Amino acid sequence: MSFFFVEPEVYKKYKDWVLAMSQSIQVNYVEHLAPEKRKPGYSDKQIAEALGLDMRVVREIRCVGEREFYDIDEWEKATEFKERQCRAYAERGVASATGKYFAAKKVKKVEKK
Amino acid sequence: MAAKQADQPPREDDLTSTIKSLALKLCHYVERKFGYYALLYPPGVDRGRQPFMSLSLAAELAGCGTRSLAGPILNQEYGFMYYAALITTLPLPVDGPAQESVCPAPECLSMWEAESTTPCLAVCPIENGGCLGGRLENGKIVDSQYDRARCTIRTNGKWVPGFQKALGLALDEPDGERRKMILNSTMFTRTLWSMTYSNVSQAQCFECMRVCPVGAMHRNLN
Repeated sequence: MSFFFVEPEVYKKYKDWVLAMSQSIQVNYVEHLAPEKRKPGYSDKQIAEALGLDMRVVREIRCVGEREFYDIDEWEKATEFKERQCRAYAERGVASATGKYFAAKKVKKVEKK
Repeated sequence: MAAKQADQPPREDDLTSTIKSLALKLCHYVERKFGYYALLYPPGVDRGRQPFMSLSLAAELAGCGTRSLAGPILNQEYGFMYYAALITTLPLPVDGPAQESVCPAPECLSMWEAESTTPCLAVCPIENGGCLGGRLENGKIVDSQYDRARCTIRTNGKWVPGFQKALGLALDEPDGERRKMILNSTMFTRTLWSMTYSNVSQAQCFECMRVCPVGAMHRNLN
């Protein structure tokens, strides 16, 4: 007796399709965009209907696939990103993200004078 | 007990608990004062790591804010906020969604004209290993990209997703000594602390929201 999980063969066969159709990478999700432009991705139910699978299978494939999408290196990169951004914010505030813009604005002001 | 908890200033790791506690108090108030059913929207996730209800959509439909380029619903006054919700049979007047989009903010439009980017896109660009991409045109969002898998790593990296990943690495490691190093590593230990004592507070990124100008005046202290 066990809980429900998908067999590796099924997972490997459908993983790329499920992830490609899912909302894992969202392109033009914003609702106000024109319908022909929106690519919000499909729900588990919609993916299941398209691939002829049970919704539970799609759900489990998506969950495992999303966790596997990036390898462990990405976790280390996330830590480095956070530390870098924290340090940058501590040193320069919001300008750590808008710095180039502020510098360009200053140049424009000087040129106008 | 709930009243005493609400009187005390919330610890960082209790923030979501405080919000939920207040929503639960509101549920009780609705039921006792007005005699209508009220149910706290349950925290956590349902099957498939989906929430029981989309708080973002509820907030948007209720007029609490509008969707942003970075993803979160931004309140017109306060920017990024945490939400709790209750489901009730109490007949309430409906505010409806906000008429004007909060994002992009005027500051972001100015930056876009000068740099072809916005603060949130600049801090976390999808083309450079980040989570966000997009384009503005005539003051509106016309294109957007969001890498949810990467964002999950950045916002929950030391929480359940990080634990699952690190545990997988440990289980795959055939060498006992290396396995010991993995299990006792900073990363693995932090995931355990985050899941137990610190709730989600150790894992959040929020860099896109830190540089968001919407509501910034409320975040900047002396």
